[in-house]
Formats: sequence, C-alpha cells, structure tokens
Amino acid sequence: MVFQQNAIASESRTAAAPQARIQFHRAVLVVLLMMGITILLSLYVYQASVNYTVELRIEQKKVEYAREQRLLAAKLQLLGESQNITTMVARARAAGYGPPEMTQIRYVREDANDPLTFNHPTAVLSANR
Amino acid sequence: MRVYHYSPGPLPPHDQEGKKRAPRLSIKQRLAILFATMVVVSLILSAQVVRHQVFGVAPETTSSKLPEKLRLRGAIVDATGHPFAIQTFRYEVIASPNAMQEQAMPAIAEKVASYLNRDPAELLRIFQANKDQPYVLLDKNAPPEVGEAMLSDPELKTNGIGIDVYPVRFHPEQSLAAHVLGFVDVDNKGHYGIEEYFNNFLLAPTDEIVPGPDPKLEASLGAPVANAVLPDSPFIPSPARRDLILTLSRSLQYMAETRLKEAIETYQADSGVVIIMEPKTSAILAMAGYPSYNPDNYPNYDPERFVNPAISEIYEPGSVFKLITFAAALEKRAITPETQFNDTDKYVYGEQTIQNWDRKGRGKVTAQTALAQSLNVTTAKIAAHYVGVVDFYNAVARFGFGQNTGIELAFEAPGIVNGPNSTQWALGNLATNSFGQGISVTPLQMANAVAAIAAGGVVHRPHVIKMSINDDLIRVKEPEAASIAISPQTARTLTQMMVAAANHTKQAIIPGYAIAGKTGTAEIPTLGGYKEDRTITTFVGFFPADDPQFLILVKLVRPKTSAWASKTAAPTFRKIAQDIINIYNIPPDAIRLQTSP
Repeated sequence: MVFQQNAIASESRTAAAPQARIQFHRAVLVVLLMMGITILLSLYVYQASVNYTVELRIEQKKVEYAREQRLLAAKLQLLGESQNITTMVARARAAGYGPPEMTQIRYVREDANDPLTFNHPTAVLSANR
Repeated sequence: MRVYHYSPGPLPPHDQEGKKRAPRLSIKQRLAILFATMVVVSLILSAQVVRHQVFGVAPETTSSKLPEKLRLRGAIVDATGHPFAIQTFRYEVIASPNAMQEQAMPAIAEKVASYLNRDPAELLRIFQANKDQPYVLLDKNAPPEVGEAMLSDPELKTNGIGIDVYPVRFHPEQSLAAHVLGFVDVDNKGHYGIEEYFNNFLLAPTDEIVPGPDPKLEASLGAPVANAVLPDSPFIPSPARRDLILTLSRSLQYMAETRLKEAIETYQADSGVVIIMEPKTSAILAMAGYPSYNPDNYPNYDPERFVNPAISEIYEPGSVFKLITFAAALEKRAITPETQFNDTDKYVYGEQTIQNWDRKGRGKVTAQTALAQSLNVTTAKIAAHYVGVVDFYNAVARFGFGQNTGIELAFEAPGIVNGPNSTQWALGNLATNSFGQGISVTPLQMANAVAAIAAGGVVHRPHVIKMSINDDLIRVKEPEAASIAISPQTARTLTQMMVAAANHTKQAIIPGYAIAGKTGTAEIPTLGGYKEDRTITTFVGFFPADDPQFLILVKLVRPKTSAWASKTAAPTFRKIAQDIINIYNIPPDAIRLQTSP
C-alpha cells in the first residue's frame, strides 16, 4: 500500500517538474518584460522631460528675445528723437552755424581732382516710342 | 487518493456559494493591463513632474503668437538710413479689481503706485470704487522701462494687475515726409502713401499668418541682389525684417519742406508742393506738400491733410505745358528754335480766342523767344499748324499725361486729358491745351515729363523705393524706362531753349550755373470762368543743364502777394537750387566743366 502511494507520488513529481520549469520560465519572462517596459517608459519619461525642458527654454528665450526687442525699440526711439533734423538744425543755429551764402564760397580748382563726379545707374531702355 | 493536477484553464463561473465571479485573466491580459497602467502612470508623471513648469507658469506672449493687429511692422528709412518710421511699443497697465482680495488691495495699490509714480491712496480708491469691475485702465502709455519692470514682476499678474503691450508706429522726424509715408492706424493698418501701398509687405509674418507672394508688390520692390550693401544704420534691419529704404534724402526733404513753408508764408499762398528728383532716373529725392500733418497724431487732423498733393491733386499746369508742345513740334522737325512766327494780339482757333498774358502781340518772334516770353498765341499756332491734333496728343501720351506714373504710393491720380476721341473735346481744345489750359495733370506728372527732357527723351517711372529688406533677401530697385517721348537731339535742343527761358526769368537764375527751366501761371477755373487773381504758379527746372542731376518743381496755389510764377515760384526754386548746390558742394559750371574729363 505504502509502495503504491510512493509510486503514485513519484509519478506525480515527474509530471510536475516540467510544469514548474514552465512556470519559472514564465515568471522570468514576465520579470524581463517588466524590466524592458520599465526601461522603455523610463526612456520615454526622460526624453519627454528633455523635450519639455528644451521647449520651455525656447519659450523663455522667445519671451526674453521679445523683451530685448522691445527694449531695443525704446532705445532706437530715443536715438531717433535725438537725431531729429529739426532739433539738430536748431542746435546748430544756436551754436552759430548756418548754411553759407553763395558769395561766401570760393571754389579752387586742383589738377587731377575732379570736384564733382555724378554717378547714376543707367535705365534699361526697353520701352518703345 | 489525492491527485495533484495543474489546471491553467478558467475558473468556474460560480463559486461554491453560487455567487458570480469575474472571469480569471490570462497572463497576456494581465501583462497588457500592467503595461497600460504603467503608460498611464508615466504620462501622469510626465505631466505632473516634467511639465508642471510649463503648466504652472504660463509664458508671456511672444512675437510669434501675436494676432494680426499686433504684428511687427518694418522700418522705413531714407537713402542713408535715417529713420522716417519705426516700430515702438506702448505699455497699457490695467487692473482687474474683481480678481483682488479686498484686504490685499492696499498692498497692491502701494506696489503699483511705486511703479507708476502715483499716489497709493488714489489707486486704492480706484480699486475699491471698481471692486466688481474686471477692467480698469490705470495707464495708457507707461514708459518702456516701467512696463518691462511690471511685466517681469510675477506678483502683479497674480494680484489682478496686467500689462498689455501694443506695437505702435513712431516717426522720429515727426511731420517730415508725412505725405510720402502715410500713417498707421490703431489696428496696425497703413493708410495713404507707402504705409498703405506696402502694408502687406511691411507687416512681418507670424507662425499663424504667412501671407502668400504678391507679384505686384514684389515688382515694385525690384530684383533680389546677393551682395547688396545696406546703408550703415542701427535702424535696419528692424526686428520685423521687413524694411524699406527710400530714395528720399532726409536733408533735402527737410530743406524742401522748410523752403515751401517759407514760400507759402512769404507769398501768402493757400498751399503748395515741392518735388526734387533725379531727372536721369526719376528717383524722388524729396516730395513736400503743405499743409502737412504729423502721422503720430493723425486723429487730430482733417482727413483732407492726408492727401498727397504731389500725386493726388490735379491742376491745370499753364505755361509749363508749352514745353510739351514745343517738344512735339521739334520732334516732328516742324520747327527749329529759329523758326519765325507772327505773334498777333488775338488768334481764333475753333471756338477759342487765344491771347497772350498781357493781351499784346509781339509781332515777328522766333520759337526760342516765344518759349522764353511764354507767348500763348505763338504756342497755339505751333500746335494747330505745325504739330496737328494726332501728333500733339500722341506726344502728350508719350510724356505720360492722362495715366498713372506708377509711383509706389497710394491714391495716385491719372489726371485728365480729353483728346479727340473724347466727347468733351472740340477743335479749340488743341489751342488751349497747347499752353496748359483745359488739361489737368499732377505735379509729379509734370515734373516727370520735364525730367524726360533732361534724361535725353526717356520717360522713367518715378520711384521712392531704393532697396528693401525681406528677412535675408535684399532687393534693389533699378531705374525703369516707361517710354521714349522724344529723341536725344530734340531733348538737347529743348534744353537749350529752356536755359534761355530760365535766363529770361531773372528770379530763377543763379550766377555761374546754367539752369534749364520754365514758369507756369495758370488761372484757376471756377464756375464763372477763369479768374486772373486766382492762380496756380509753377516753376520747374533742372541743373546743371549740360549734365542734369537735380530737377525741382515748385507749385504754389493762390499766392496773394503776386499772381505770377516769376515772382513766387521762381524765387523759391532759386533758393532750393542754392541749398542743393551747398549741400552737394556743386562748383559753378566754369570750374566743373574745366576739370571734368
């Protein structure tokens, strides 16, 4: 009777061994899959993090650039105002400067020095009469 | 006997108590759920951990996201880079008292007051009085440094204080060249002049708004040039990178406007125009109209001021138009400067009776004398008997009258020329048209027609654009010939006749310089006919006559001190010519011709 029980148990063990191996392999596979997925997701999270950080920096740079443009515009406005020709002429006149009279100008001719060379682009004479 | 067996199959649908149980999931299903859960968790992590900064702090409005109204606008500068119109920004400070906690209002008022240099108690009163309001304007135009400081203060935004930034047009030279430039309204839209003509070019594209190519505008801007050299100026390229460099010279424009204003005050005229151009290319160096306006304050002016009188207002040119009649006759070889005519008291042609300005005939005169003394009778005879209807109106068309010149400015008028094909034309019109009556032109058309004489007979398209910047593309506008009005030989002969005519007008001459010019005094047509005391006086001329570099047209409307061009427009011409000689340091002809090759 005892022998018979042992025989049955022995049969049962020989049948369970491959099952356990399969279970073990499946467990390993699951763990590996989990690790793979975790690595992939970590990479995704990392990449997303990098992307969003760069996006954020670009946005910040754009904001900074827009601010710099506005500040530059303000400076150019001041520069333009300071160079206003009406103001400059008034300042020059106040300092004693003014356009010369024709009689105050004396032209001196110097050889090999053309005092005035007019230089104009040439039109394309494509029109017909 | 107990048998151990492994059963991976599904669990029975009912347990021992008969309760319904959920079906057991397979490994694959479990893995799929696990994977989906991890994906969701990672996305939530990503959103919460990584993007929290993006979501937590909204970035300020950037130029790339501006709506059309707020698009950047390019600069307009003169030929040397001096700015006529540039982009600046206006900072509007607004409060939303309904978003403020009542107990925090004093602190907010204190803080805002320190920025705006205002009384905190006054701001607090404003907040409390408008505590249910979402929008209260605190400052319409805060200084840029204040606006920027407030923009970078995060506390203000969270406490119901906002700063709106609007691009605005600014004109450093104020009213200078206003008629050429036009103005920009609060919606960032250009009106009149260059601002309207090039509105779509000047507005910078954004991520949302990328306008398609506009062949008409591109043709107006010229051809791309790889190695083009821009004027050395801090104002270009502007942040918009859509800029226009004009042919105008700031110095000449200022001088022209100053001289025109002086003339209008001296001769008590109603209005006036001065045009200075390069006759060999028809590049506009200055274009002044009076009265003018300041584009920065355009709402304060009568809209009539916005109209550019140099291109939009038509008038009867008077005797200046005799140049066209003489050009047609010379070109036809029907006359020479020495051809003699019998200048009578009256000349009846068709239904018209023609008389000279003093109603006196001169007897035997040459064509040269007829032009110099501006004799209507002889001019009408030349048109009627030597030129003829067809050749006269053909010449008028070749010189560009009755059609737009094509200048790159909005609202150019074509003028009125009623030729023989018109129902309003009668034979007598040929005689009156020959000395500039019954025909309407713009000052620019008249200047450009005379420029053609200076340019050897070639009519160029007048232009104000020299170069343009479109991102990295630089276009350069080259002179463009529109038609050939007369031969170079006729142009030379007519120039000599114009020099003699200018010498006849003592008020226009400058000793040492040969100037080719012609006066024009036109009576203004009214319902009751022409009135002698209501005139438009014109002088148009160019110099140096042997190598024309500058053409000046002066037009004065209803001068009161004298009705004659020789007493009003001619002296103004001389002053402007003297200024140009000074600015460009042009030596007298004797010295210049002695040294030139």
